[in-house]
Amino acid sequence: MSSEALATAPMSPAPAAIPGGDSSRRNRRLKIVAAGIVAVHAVWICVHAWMASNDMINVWRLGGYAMYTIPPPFIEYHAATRPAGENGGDWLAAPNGAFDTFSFHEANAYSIFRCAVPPVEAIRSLIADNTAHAGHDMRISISEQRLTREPFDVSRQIYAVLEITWLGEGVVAWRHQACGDADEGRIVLSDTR
Amino acid sequence: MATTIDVALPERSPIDGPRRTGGAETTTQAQNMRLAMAIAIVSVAAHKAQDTFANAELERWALVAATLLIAGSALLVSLERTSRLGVGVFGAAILFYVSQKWMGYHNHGWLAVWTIPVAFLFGSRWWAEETFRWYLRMTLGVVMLGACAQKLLAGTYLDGSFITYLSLLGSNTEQMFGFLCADLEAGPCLAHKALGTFLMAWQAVVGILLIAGFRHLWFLIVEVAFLLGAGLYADEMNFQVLNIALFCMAFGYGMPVRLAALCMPLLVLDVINISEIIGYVL
Repeated sequence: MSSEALATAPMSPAPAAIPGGDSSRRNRRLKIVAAGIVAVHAVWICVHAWMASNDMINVWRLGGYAMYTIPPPFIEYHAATRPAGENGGDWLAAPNGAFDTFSFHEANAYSIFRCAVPPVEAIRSLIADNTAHAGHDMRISISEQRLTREPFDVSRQIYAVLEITWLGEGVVAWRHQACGDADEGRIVLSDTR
Repeated sequence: MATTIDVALPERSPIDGPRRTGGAETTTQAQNMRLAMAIAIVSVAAHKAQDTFANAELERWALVAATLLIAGSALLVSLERTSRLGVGVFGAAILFYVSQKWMGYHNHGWLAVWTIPVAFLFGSRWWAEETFRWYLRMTLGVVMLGACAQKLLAGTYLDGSFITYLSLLGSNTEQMFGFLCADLEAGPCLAHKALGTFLMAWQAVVGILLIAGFRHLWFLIVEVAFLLGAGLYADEMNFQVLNIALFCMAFGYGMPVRLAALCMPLLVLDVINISEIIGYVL
């Protein structure tokens, strides 16, 4: 529909159309560009909706319009430690505030990609920011507020766990479990790559 | 071979000023369009204001500077001569901000990124461009339908569970419909299901009407009233003021001074936090 037709659509006592002095060619170009931007936006909304419905992201972020469809997750990190070398031993929950997760949170993109493995940089910063626990195995459980519809319930649920195990001599192994998947790897802490 | 481009000298638009039409009303309309854009930008600045102190504490001075530029651009867009410059300044500042904070950037903040900077493409008299209004209507229409589709996919509006959640655990204002159900902890009642379904249907209807090009003044008035109510309910007035300003531009009326005068204090209250004020009073 042309802009003139839109402006004079029936039942639209909107302000008069702008006769504007635009040459029709310029106007056509602008309309194509504008329609292109709308199309890109619409495609992104669809991609966002797909990721949201598959629980892959924090739906309150990334520029879709799924906010106010589920509660904001209010991500929390719960830390626990155990002496290194006691694989299978009990984890001791660290008191609130004993662990600094600020840089980890930032490097892990605020955990908006729920199932994604934290980047190596995030794991490094977690270790670097918590030198008091160096030499101890660490476990970070990530929880979120979640609404269950049947039966109706709102509770905090852990959806991802990152375990860091000291292998000695500045080498750690990590294991990440989220969304039914598990990944693992090793990091040489002195290696700055 | 030289190409001849047929460039017609622009006639002055009826909202472009009194020189051609002599009508004070049309001047007001042009001013109201720029005022709407200024208020849209102020709503973004109000949203950023909540993060500014944190950015300053973390010595993220570039983000603080970007926020100040966003606020300053509101003044520029309201003046005829500098309006496009203001849109350009806003666009540069918001794109820089988003590039630095994309992962923490609220969904509704992205709407400003998709809409306001695009005015720059339309030249120094962007407010007189019908294609820009068309773009805003299409964008808002797509957003409304997208938001409705997301609610449908989540299923939490048709069964009323999200309204019940807000009534139980939301902020003071979000609990306003709690009285509709006798036992909130037992789950959604019929009234919350009806309310959730109505909200979803409303978004769908508004989206379809926008895309169809329906621009009746009463449609705008009802939608503005609805958005003000939604802003109070969700304690998210900055987003609703942004929506109102965009609707005012999309419909071509601009924002009357009286509506702007209503929106400004609401933005100030929003920065303070409406729920906290109510909590303090109660």
